[in-house]
This record gives sequence, C-alpha cells and structure tokens, in this order.
Amino acid sequence: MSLDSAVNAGSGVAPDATSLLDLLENAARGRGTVQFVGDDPEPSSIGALWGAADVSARWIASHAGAGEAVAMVLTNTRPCVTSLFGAWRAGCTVASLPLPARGMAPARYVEQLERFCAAAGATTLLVDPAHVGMLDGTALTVHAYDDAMRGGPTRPVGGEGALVQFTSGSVGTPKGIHLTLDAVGTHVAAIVAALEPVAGDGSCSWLPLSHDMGLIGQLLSPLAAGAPEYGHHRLTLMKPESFMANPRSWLRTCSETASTVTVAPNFALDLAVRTSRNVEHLDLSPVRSIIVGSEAVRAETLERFAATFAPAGLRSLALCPAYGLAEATLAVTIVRPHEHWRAIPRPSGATGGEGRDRPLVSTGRPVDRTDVRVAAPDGEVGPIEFRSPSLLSRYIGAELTFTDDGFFVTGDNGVMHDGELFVVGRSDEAIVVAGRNIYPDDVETTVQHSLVRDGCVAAVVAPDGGLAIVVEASGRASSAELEVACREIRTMVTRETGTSPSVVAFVPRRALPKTPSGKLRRVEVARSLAAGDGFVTRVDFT
Amino acid sequence: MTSTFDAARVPDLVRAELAAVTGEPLDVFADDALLGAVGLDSLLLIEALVSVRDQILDEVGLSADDVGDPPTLPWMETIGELIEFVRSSVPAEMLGDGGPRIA
Repeated sequence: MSLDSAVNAGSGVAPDATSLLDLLENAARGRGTVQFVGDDPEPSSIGALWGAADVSARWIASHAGAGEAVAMVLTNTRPCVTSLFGAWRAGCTVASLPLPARGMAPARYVEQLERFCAAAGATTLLVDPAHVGMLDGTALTVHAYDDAMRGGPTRPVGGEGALVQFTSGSVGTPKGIHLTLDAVGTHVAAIVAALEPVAGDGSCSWLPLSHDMGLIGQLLSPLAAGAPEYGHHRLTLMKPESFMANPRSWLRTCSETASTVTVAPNFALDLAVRTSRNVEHLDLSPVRSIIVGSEAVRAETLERFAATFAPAGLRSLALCPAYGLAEATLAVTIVRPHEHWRAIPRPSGATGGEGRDRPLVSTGRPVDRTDVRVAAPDGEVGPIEFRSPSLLSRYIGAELTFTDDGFFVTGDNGVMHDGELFVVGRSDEAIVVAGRNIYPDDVETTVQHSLVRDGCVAAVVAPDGGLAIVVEASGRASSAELEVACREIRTMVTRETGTSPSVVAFVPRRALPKTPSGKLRRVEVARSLAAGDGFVTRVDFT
Repeated sequence: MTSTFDAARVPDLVRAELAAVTGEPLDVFADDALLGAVGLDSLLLIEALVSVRDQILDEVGLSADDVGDPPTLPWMETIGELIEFVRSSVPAEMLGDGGPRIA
C-alpha cells in the first residue's frame, strides 16, 4: 500500500514550539483590540485583557493549585476570558465543558457536567452567572466568572497549564483530550500563519468558546494575531445567543466592523442564505477568509452562499473550507485565503452508487508543521492520518495510540488530490454493502419526506449487514401511512445511492440518540435496531 | 411603518410557527410545555424565531434594517418563557398597545 501524503514543514512564518502564554503576552504588547459585543461599548486593548487576567490568576490560585484542574463552561464574555487566561497563568489545567443544549433537561446537563468534572479531576466549576442557578444541588463548587474578577490573596506560582477539551464523541462515551499549552501555542501560531495576517485585519465570531473552533480559531488565534509584528488585529466577539435570536446579526456585525476573517460551520452558511434580506446593505468586501468547518462542507452550500452575498461584495475566494479535530488542537488542513476552494467528483470507492454525484470539497493543504496522509493507494479513499507538534498529549478515559511512525489515525476517511485533502466521512461509521463504502451523511441527506423530521435520519448498518435507514416521525401518522413512507424512503435511497436499504424504520420524535452537540450516535441506533427496540413502524425488506 | 402590531397576538403567532417547524399539533404548545418535550432544539428554535420576527416586521411594513436586534436569547425551558421572550423583543414603537406609533 502506498501512502498519498502532503507535508507542510513550515512556511517560516509559524515559529517552532511556542507556549500559548508567551504568544498572548506578546500580543498584549501590541495594538490589537478586543470587543465583547453586548458587554463592551467599544473595543479595548488586548493588553487590558491580559492585565485583568493577572487579577483573576490570583483568585484562581486561591482556589486551585498549579497543576490542578479547573472546569469552565466557556462563554463569550470578558469575565470568562479573563478567568480562562487567569487559570492558565496560575498554572492550572482548564477543562472546557459544553454549554447546555436548548431543549435539554437541566438535570441531565448537570449530570453531564459532573461526569466531565470527575473525568478531568476538577472540583471547582466556573460558569456564566446566568447558569449558576441551573447548578443548584450539585456537589461541585460552582462560581460565577465575575467572582474571579475580584482577585485573591494568593500569588500564582505559575506552571505549565493545559487545556482539556471533551470530544463530542459521536461514537461511544465522550473522551477528554489533554493538550499542553505548548501544543496549543504552536497550533495557534500555525493558524495565524495560514491566515496570512496583515495590518488592520479584524475577526468576527459568534461561535461559542466552549467549541474548539470558537476557542482556538476565533479567540486565541485572533488575539495572537494582535502581536506587534502583525500590525494590529481587531477581534469582535459576539454571543452565540445573539446569533440564535437573530442569525442576520452575524454578517451584519462583520460588515459594520469591516472584519476580514470569520468562521462558521456549514449549517450557519445555509442559515445565512435562508434568512438573507437586504443583502446589498451589507459590505462584505473586506472579508478575506470565512473558515468553514466542524462538519461536512457541501459544495452546493458554498456556491449558494457566494451567490447570495456577492451583491454585498463578498469574494468567492473568501470561502476557506477546513478540516480538523480536537485531537489536533483544531485544524489539520485549510484552504488558504488566496486560493479558491475546489471540488472533485467522488472516487468510485467513496460513493454509494452511480446516482450519487455530490462532489467532495477540498479542505486544503496541511497547516504548518503538520504531515497528513491517506493510508490508501494514490487517489483512493482511505483513513486520514496526521502528525504534528499540536497533537494531544493523552486522552482522559481512553488509550492513545499511534502508528509505528507516529501518525494519529483520525477515524475519518478521505482522499488526497494534488496535495489537498478531501474528506469523505467517518471511517468507523461507514457502511460497506457489496464491497462498496457508503457514508451515512450522504445517504441521510437523500431522505426528504413529509413524514420525516428534517435532519433526523440515521443511516446505519442493518442487522443483516446491509443498509438500514432509521428516521424520526415529523408528526402524527397512522401505521399504514408510515409503512407506505418506509417504502417510499427505500425507493428514494435506492434511486439516489444505488443501494437498497434492507430495513427502514420510524422512531418517535426525539428518539434518535444524539451527542450534546447534536451529532447522531449511529452506533447506538444500530444497536437498537439489532435489538428491535423502540420502533413505531419498521419494515424489513429482506 | 404602515401599521402597528398587537402584542396580544404573539402567543398565537409563536404557537403557529412552532407547529410549522416541529410538525406537532398546536395544542402541545401549552405555556408550561418543556421545549425538549415538544421537539424544539437550537436549530428549530432559531428558525421559529426568525420566521416570527419576519412576520411581525412584514405586518408593520418594516425591514430588518429598520429595527434593532432582539435581546440575546436567554436560557429558557418552557413555551411560556419563549412566548414572553418574543413579546419582550418586539420593539416598543411597533406595538399598538400604547407605544408611540410611527406612520
């Protein structure tokens, strides 16, 4: 087997191993600014933020020793970011925990936080003041971020500090990913280099800091880009709750702040298109890079977005798909700002059938000092592997293994083409039918039916080894109607993928198991299917 | 702006939109119903809020550019809290219940 690989040994911009704290301290000497929208009437200097973190470090040091873990539900507020930097300056490991998902029962959320804290070894939890009430009754010691702004008597002794991010864990129990601040700093430097910063750049983001793309990509990297050598960088941080209340506020804020860099998952681009109005009132001409990642990137989404916002001056070159995972700190590959994203037809091994013609979107070349390869013959689909100085140091709750030559096996499949990585989907959820690989994401998007709740479709391995489709009912329907729908879905999938499902089943609304971030737990769906549990209507076609 | 909006209509408007995005019958959206129990997640919530806001703006003849952003979405658990949020986020000048009217 040959390995199709791409290496980016460094452009000379990203330095060698760099501590995150050194990067931030350097940025604090520059003219970069940060504004927390909704809290700050106007931008203030990164230096002021860094100075306030010194006060927080004293409070943290009075509650946790260097090397100990402090848990935080990171929110896009000044007190939170100040506390985060304070914890690192006090030498603590920060365990980043998820925000509560809308619709989630508070009791279940508290259980989740307690589980994560136990895994991280943290007994102190810092949260936004709005979330304190939700945590009544927990055995954890809960503080609001504002508490840490008051300082404390203990002078921090410093230490190495670390970051623990909990993966969404689409498969199995969520795992903790332990990153040293050297790994994070080296990665942040690589991202800054990839974005080719120039004086006067500005970033704007609504992504929650509890998400790695928000924390690493749109907080730490823009702050590091505020360093004197880059001129200055303006960071505008919106609240995700503002985006939820009015998605149009994202691009409007980008326009008002003349931002040059922003970040969004694929769904946010779709949402921006669906809710677009008065596009010509926006000025998106300064935007140089919209990093698109954290979920599958669709060519049709990029095309629609570019066409919709072209009247606002958006350049199609600005769309920069990226691929990454928490184990890499964040990014593995990214399309550079001066390059146009491209798409290629799916290789034969990456399609569910001749009827599928959705192209694969390039996620670009590796970020600095990252080696990426696909363990398959040239041009064919195989497991994506990479190595870099920004790899996790260990898992919490799982064993970390590498290939003999030090590569990390991602669990995603892809193909390399002209030095760029094209991601196909998760390798561990892929379904092989008659020697063909079928990727759940692709099959699931083909199911459009009035009795199926939008986006609530799972393609999994059927008990007989074939393809099974499990869907959530969108409303009330009789058994006879659902049975007809099962047959229509089978026809739909067969026509689109060339593979006929052997089972189609309906489950009640909200019954498909999902991770806290909303990703399907397909392995659990397959297990339920095999056990015959929980179905409203099920049609076995074999 | 060509007309005003009657805030008393907010509950019906919200419930109708929630029924549209979730596929559930109107009567499940009682004030004390939990968001999760009626199938509302983040994305559905966003879609419902955007749609309700656009309907209100269309009704009074305003565009999204004419009014400020709604408040940030607070943590909420029930349909009643959601309705109250929508009611409180309608700009005062659009209301027909005593607020200033802009012709």
